[in-house]
Amino acid sequence: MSCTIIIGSGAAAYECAKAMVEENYEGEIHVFSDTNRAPYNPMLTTYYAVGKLNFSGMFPYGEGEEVWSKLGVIFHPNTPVTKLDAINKTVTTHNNTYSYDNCVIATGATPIVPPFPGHNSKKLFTVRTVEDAEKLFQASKDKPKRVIVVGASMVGIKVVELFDKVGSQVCLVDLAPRIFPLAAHPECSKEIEARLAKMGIKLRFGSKLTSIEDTKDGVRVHFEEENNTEDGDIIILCIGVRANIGFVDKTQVETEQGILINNNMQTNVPSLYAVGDVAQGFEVITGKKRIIGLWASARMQGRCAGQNIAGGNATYEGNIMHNITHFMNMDFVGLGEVSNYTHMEVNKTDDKLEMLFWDNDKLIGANYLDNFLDSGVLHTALVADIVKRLNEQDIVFGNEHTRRLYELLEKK
Amino acid sequence: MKKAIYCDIDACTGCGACIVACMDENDIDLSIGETANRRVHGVEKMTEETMIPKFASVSCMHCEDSPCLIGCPTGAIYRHKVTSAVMVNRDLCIGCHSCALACPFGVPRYDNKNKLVKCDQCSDRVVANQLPACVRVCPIRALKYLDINEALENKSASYIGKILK
Amino acid sequence: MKKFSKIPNETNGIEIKKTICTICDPGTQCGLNLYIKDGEIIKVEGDENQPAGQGTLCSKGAATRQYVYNPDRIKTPLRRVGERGSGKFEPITWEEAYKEIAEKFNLYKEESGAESVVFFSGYTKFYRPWLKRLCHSFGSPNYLAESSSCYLSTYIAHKLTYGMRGDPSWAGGMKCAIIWSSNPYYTNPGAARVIENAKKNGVKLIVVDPRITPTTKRADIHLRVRPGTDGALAHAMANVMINENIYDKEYVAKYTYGFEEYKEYVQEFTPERAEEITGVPANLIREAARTFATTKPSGIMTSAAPVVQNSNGVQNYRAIFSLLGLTGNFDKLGGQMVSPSSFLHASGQFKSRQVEFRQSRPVSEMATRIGDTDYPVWKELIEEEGQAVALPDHIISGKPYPLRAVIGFGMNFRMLSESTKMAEALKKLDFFVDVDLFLTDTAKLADIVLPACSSVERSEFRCWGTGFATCTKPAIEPLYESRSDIDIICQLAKYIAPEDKLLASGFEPTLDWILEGTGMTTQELWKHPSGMPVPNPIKQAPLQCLEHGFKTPSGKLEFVSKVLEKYEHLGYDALPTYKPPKYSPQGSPEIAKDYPFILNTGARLPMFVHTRMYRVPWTNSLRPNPAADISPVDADKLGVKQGDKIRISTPLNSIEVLVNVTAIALEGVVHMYHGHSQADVNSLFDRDNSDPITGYPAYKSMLCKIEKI
Repeated sequence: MSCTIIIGSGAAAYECAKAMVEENYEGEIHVFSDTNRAPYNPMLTTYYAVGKLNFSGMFPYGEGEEVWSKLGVIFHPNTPVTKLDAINKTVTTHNNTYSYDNCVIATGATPIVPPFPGHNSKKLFTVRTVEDAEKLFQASKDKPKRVIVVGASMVGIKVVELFDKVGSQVCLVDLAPRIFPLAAHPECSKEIEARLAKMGIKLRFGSKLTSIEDTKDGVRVHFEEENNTEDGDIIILCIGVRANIGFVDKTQVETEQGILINNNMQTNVPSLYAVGDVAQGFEVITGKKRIIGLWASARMQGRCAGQNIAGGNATYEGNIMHNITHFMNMDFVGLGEVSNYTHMEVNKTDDKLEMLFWDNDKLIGANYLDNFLDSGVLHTALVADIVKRLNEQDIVFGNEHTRRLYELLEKK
Repeated sequence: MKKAIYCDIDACTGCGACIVACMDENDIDLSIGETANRRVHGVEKMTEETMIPKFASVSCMHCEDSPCLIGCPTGAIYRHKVTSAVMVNRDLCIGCHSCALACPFGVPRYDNKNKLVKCDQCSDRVVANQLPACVRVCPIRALKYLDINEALENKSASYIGKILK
Repeated sequence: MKKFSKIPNETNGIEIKKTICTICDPGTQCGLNLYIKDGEIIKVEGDENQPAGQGTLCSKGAATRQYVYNPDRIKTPLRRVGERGSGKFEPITWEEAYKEIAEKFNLYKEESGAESVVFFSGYTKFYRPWLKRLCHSFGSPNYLAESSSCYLSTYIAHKLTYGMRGDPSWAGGMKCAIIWSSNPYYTNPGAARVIENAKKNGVKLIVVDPRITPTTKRADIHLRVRPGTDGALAHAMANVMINENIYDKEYVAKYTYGFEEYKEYVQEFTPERAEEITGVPANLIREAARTFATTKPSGIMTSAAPVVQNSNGVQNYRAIFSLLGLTGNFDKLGGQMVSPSSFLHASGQFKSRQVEFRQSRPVSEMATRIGDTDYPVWKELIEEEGQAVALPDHIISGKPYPLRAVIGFGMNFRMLSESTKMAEALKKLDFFVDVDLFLTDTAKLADIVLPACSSVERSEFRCWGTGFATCTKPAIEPLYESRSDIDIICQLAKYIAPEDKLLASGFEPTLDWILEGTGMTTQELWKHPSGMPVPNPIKQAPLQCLEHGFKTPSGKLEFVSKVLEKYEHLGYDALPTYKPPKYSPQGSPEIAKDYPFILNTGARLPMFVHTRMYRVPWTNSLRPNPAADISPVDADKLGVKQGDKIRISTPLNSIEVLVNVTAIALEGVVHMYHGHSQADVNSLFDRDNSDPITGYPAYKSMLCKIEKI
């Protein structure tokens, strides 16, 4: 009997196992995890902390190990894989080695905490796991007076919102000169920053954190600039995540930031797949391989790998960078490419901002501020325009955006 | 067989009866920011001789493989057991707007509690063997409630909604 | 947000009741299924058992709940306490209201004659025979209605040409139809479905309309005529038919009068000349003329008012209708068939006693009717009502006799040109009573306001051309203290026309009287909630005029009208002559220099019917602001874009609206919907810009200029 091992137990892993079951895969499916929890969504940790979701709400597939047994999967809780031998097709845990026919790496990512002095302070928090969420929730209940958030990212801004809501004075810090440095155009960042400042959020951009010092009632953050510190009761670090690939032998498996995969979710080793936040697949606008750490992509990738292992020939042709974040009564949408463009189009009405980025006559990216309702149309079209040629009926209708796109396609 | 509401874009006149019927069925109160789950879009297609007005009454297409359902981080979006319609569990909706960014048709709208409000294909009516309100009202029957395959086989060119098939 | 399923079951107390929608009032009157729980309507849908609506509704009917439960509904009879127009009223009882009305009306009758009291009907129409009877039983000749700017002029054009009305005989095997300025897709879903079927059955469709509409989209030939030039287009088609010898020579020789004169007259309208006048390419005119003349049988579908709301309206319509005679299609199966009215203007395949009922006193026993002096053709041909366009001047001047009181039902002063003048005139009356559902701008001018109820709260009788009739029962109790218009009329009769015992007897006995001999009674009709086929229907039959003579002075189809001949001294032509619109580049080149756009008003939008749906949020949300449609070419020239604010001005007045840039509009033409209280386009039209024969305001062709503001 054949055997598939899935390393990791997030949504990508779950979708992979589910697809295999649905496609009547006849072998054993083993899932190895560093936790005993059901799959959860890291994005929900801030929503749990802010009270928008109860604890079980973080587990979209249900809570507890039985999620896996219901699928008919052999679950190995609290059993992290320490070594993968892709050539001999084995995985090793702390007490055993298992052979497989196919293996799926779905180990996700871990928040980056650089080893600066004070990085192990008890008053330093990260935001990724259910345990992180619990700690953050408790911390917010204490209603800290001053909170330092490092990382002007989609996660960072939700943390800002969380503590702003409980009445803390929040300072948002980033090494980058502006908010959402990857997803937003500088002009859009400027508008968001102006609004945040108006709401009383202190912004410290272009500041490099050098150390954290525990003080009597909190922490003092030191920056590269001399005599320049920021005091807070607590500090939350949201400066990004790193793919969990420590157990992979880089001489066997091609990696960059993540594990490189093709459109079938296969690595350079045919029996080895990678899906989710650990996988580095195609980004369709640039055609380059990038980690697109998004819930929907993880699920699509997991499903695709599962179908292929079960004997199918599924492809997932990649996605574009896309983010929507709703915070402090604003909605920011970042789509595709917003820095390497030949020209941009800015439409500003009332408080709404729409920015479209073009590479000559091809639309490659967009930013929206409070104008998100039609963003899905553009998102789909951006992906589809490149992945496959749409016919007229596919996109003529929808709204102003489809109308514009229709006109665009008519011209071509 | 999964069924869906299709709009014959050659026949649709943009009269808006479907929008009003939707508001009537769903008790939409515009004064508190609620909106119909259905909208009508028009395109004026210019030819050399004239203009061809095209209208489409668009609501949730209840896609076979719904990007909103896949993209929903909490599982608030799910399928109706009988009709397969894409539904919302309001208790789980956190107002993150991921579905707006996922939907190819610009369908999702949010109420004054910032929760997703969408077409449920009048599933309670369908279960009771009635047509969805918008289909029932359409004066020239441009809106039809068909199985997906029937719609695509019969006259695929004039129906919208193939995008995710 | 919906709180519970509306599907009726044994335990939830939801039941479905049948009635009809009369929010709009052309031919359709779609059946309604009202879902009712605890006496309240919780959902509306079409009645699948009723042939008119076939289970469907338009956006207006679908909004029935917000129409019925509108916060503007008048709750009790009201008496004015503030200045006229201030909208300050106090509630009174029905008894008090009737007494006060009776006291005043009877006094005016005694002092100034019964004719000093005017009875006016706006929308809706179901009570009209009752109101006209009340008027005449009281002794006044002055029963007026909104038909003074809608439909009757078309009826006059029919009568002048054929002696009676003819409707397209779609079901009789029609092979080609001209749809002349009508877009039933937005006004009359029943008629739209007829076109859909015709199209499916391969009927050739020629559509005449300046706009692009769902109807023109279905056309084989679309003639985009410049507003107001319809007569020239029709004459050019006649020119082609005659000169190419494709007209029906035998029919013309046998059944028509004045052909030689007509033939000679249309010679000047070559397709090339018509192209200059109408903007329709000559080759399309030829193609349309040939198609219509050679694809027989063929008929013409028109609408109530678009062609006649023009300074040459009746003549333009006569020019169009003449094409039916020329091609031998009138009174033919599959062509145009005569269709006598059964009830109101609807032909229901039965003969009622509505004329005997409503004309309770002979015309000879009453004073001269309003408008009859100015419009003698109207006087001669229209028994139904007087011409109300003369009303404001008559009130203000007091000539030829004083007018002291008006009682209006669903009246809207904005229906007339120089619309504020009507409002001013109403303020000058001694006494003004208004009956309405809502406290409208017109109601606010009244001394006494009476609350009427909607169609779903009353009983009413309707019939359809398919030989189908219904008498509804109230689906819910009338809201507040409102009452059915017919009940109000019958109750008022006891006070002001006490000798008319029949009218005072109420709805059921009066309806039974009208229907006597038809095989229908109120009780029998009530047994059929969705309506019933008319018993022993008198089927519409061809060859009625051809075998028994036309009801014209000559007994023939008249290209040259013997009625109009009598009034040549008033400047009326007996031939259906074409004259350019009074305000047009051809008609008034001096004015056109400063006012370069053609203003065309009232072209239907799907969610509105006159002003009735503006107050309904669901329909209003579909087009929330008054906006004028202009073509993209004109928008570029003016430097305006979608949503900009513009000022539309005529030599008389100006209004400010938003601009809706759309290629629906013909270049050089501005379309504006009417009746917005904040932007009343009828206030831009002067009273003299009207059809001299019928007095119809020229709402479809005026000159204007547009400025961005």
